[in-house]
Formats: sequence, C-alpha cells, structure tokens
Amino acid sequence: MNRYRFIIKILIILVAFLAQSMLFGSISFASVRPNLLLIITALSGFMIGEKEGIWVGFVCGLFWDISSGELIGYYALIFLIIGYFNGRFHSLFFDEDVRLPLTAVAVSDLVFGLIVCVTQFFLRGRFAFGTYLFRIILPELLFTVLVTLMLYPLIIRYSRFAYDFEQRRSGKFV
Amino acid sequence: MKSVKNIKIKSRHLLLIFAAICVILMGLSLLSKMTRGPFRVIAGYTVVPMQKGLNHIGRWTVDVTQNFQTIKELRTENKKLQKQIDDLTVENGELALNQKELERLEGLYKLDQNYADYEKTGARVIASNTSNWFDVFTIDKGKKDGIKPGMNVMAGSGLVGIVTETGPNWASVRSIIDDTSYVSGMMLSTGEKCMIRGDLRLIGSGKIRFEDLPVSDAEIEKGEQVVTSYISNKYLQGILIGYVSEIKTDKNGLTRHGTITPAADFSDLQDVLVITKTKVELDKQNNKKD
Repeated sequence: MNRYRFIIKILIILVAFLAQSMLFGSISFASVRPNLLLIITALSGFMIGEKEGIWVGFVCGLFWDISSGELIGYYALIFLIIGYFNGRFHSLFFDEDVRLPLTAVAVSDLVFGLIVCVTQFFLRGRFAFGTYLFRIILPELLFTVLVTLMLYPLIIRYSRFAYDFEQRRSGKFV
Repeated sequence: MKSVKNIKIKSRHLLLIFAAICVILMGLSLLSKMTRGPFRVIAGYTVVPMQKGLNHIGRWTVDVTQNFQTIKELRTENKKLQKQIDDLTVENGELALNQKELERLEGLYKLDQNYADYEKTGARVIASNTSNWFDVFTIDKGKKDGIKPGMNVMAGSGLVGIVTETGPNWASVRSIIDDTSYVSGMMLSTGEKCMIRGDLRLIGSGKIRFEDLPVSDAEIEKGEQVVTSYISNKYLQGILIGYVSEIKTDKNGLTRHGTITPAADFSDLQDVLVITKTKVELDKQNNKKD
C-alpha cells in the first residue's frame, strides 16, 4: 500500500471520529448519530478488500475504544471483523451501482447494533430488545445509510482519484 | 490466480493477527487499568485539543447566530429580572433570619457538615462519546487540574455523573442516565433508601428509574426530592438527583419502584461542576477524626 493513501485514510478516520463525537454547540442525550466510523470500515472492506477492511476496522475500533468503554480492543475486534467480512464481498463491488455499498453499510450497522446489544445489554440481564431495536439500532441504521448515500459520490471520486494516482506512480500508464 | 490465492491466505492471517492483538489488549485492560495509560496520553495530545477547538468553533457559531435573536428577549428578560431582584431582596432578608435560626438548630443537632457545600471546579463538556448506546462525555479538565476518577459531577444543582477516567487534560464522565450507572439514593423527607439506575429505555423520556424502595407507611408523593444517600461509597451525600415523577409498588409487595425526573438538564449540557473531593477521601478524613 501506498504511503500517501495510508496517511489520507488515517486523516479521514480522524475527521470522522471528530465529527461523530462533536457536540454542535451543546451535548444532547437521547439523540441518534450516524455511525461514520462504521461507514469507513464497511466501505474500505467492500471497495478495496479484506486487508484494507481489517486494518481500517482496527484503527476505527481503537478510536472508539479510547473514547468510550472500559475495554481496549473490544470495538476494535468488532470493527475489524466487520471490515473483513465486507472484504469477502469485494468481488461484487462495482462502483457505479450504489445499492450494494448501501446494503453493505446497512447490514454492517445492523450486525454492529446486534453485537453491542447482545454483549453489552443482554449479558447484563437487560432484555428490552424492542426498545433497543426501534430506539437505537434502526434509527442509527437509517441515518447511517442516508449519510452514506449523500457521501457516496464523494467517496467514489476519491477512490477513482486514488486508484489513478497509484497506477500512475507504479508506472503502468506512463 | 496464484497471487489472488496468496492474498486470501494472507488476509486470513492478518485477521487472526489483528484479532489476537485485540484479545490481548482486552485481556490486559481487564487485568490492569494501566493498559489504557498510553492511549490516554496519546488521546490527550492529539484528539482532545482538536475536540476542544471544534467545540470552541461550534459554540462561537451558535453564539453568533443566537445573538441576533436574543437581544429582544434579553430586554424583556431584563425587565422581568429587575422585578425579580426586588422580590428577592425582600425574600433574602427573611432568609437571612431563617439562616440564623438554622445555624442555631444545626448547632443543636451537631450537623457541622453542610452537604451542599462541597468545593467545586467548573469544566466544559468538549465531546460526547461516539456510541448511541451509552451516555459518557468528555470534559476539558484532567489530571493536571486535579481531577481524579470517582469525583462527582454536577450541573446546576443536580447530580450529572461520576468521573470514570482521567487523562492529562481531559476526563470522561459517565452520566447517571447511562444504562450502566447505579446510584444509591434517598428520599429526602423520609430518609428511605433506594437504588437509582440509568435505563436506556427511559432515555427518550428524559427520566431515570429508581428501585428497591421499601414499602412503608410514609407516603411518597410525586415531586418528592431524591438525593444521594450516605451509604454510597462513590457518591457524596446529599446531592440532589431529581424529583419523583411516578411511583408504583412492586409485585412482591415489599418494595416500590418508579421514575425520577433528573434535576440536571441533560438535554443541554455544556458546563458542569466537578466536586473536587471524592467520597473515598472524605470517608478517610472522617475515620481519622473519629
């Protein structure tokens, strides 16, 4: 992998993390925010491949771990597995069709929500699955998919640019 | 074809390696809190300054847009407040009298500790957590400002949460409405103790649950004040948590449960007060005195 792309990726993750933890003037509880880090993880895996999904997922999860939760490595593990499985479906990827990436993000977010629900709530004996599903998992999913839809043209433009740049550097077109 | 196969095997290995790193990290952070140390410091010098900056910008833009709207409101409010000042001056005189009497009575009962009078330091909320599941937030003061884990956090007159972790220049606070939060509380008028726990199901309605309040003859009505109890080993005694908004008897007929409206406004939390003494320190002091 290319050094520039690595740095840019880290910067993108950082920006997403800051946006996700941003307050917009004041903190407000009980509001649902889109899962930007998950979008990056899922799309990295789906658009570039398994390896990319793994390391991007790991970094995103680590950010998440530092900002919340007591276990370092917990969200990192969830994210890198999500990234890996998205990478498994990389062969289906075709950048002019927006439906598959959206599905990938949606399924990833659903899986993420269910994993958190089971490991952090069911294991503590709190079984209000309906509430969790309708108050958090589904709103988050919708919001996340919506944001993906809006960002998708930008993501595609960047990924084409990065691809061309790399091709040129490796001297294939020169 | 061969190269594709190679990549596949490698990526599986990569998955295992990274997963192993995660498991080791989890194990280490379970074993000792030290594991988070390096991450804390790194976060303190990279992400936190950016969050502070962003928060500053965010506040500034909100302020600017609100300024224009609020001038009119301010004028009317000013008139109102002027009137209120007059009323309060009168009331203050009365209260001063009451205060003297209270001091006298407190002397009688040897209540030399005024619980509401803990030393506090102000802090600003700079970031919420990334997750939709938990209510943890970051404030802009940390170890350097003397913040320690276990310190209680208030907003206005109400309890907000407890410091769970500190970095050099930040601290994270778990709010009492977080699903994993437990606070030992007490009905102010009767002194009966209950358990107050955050509940994700109630977050939408802005309430928290209380449980295990013994059934007794003492009538608890809606609006009853709930404060932190003296048996808690984490929360200082006598901090206002909120007001009872609903109360029901459990099926077992022995205990009661219900909901509390928190005294702190969680919907718009910007500035908080950290009490600079933890319960553990206070207990130690008291033991020495005895």
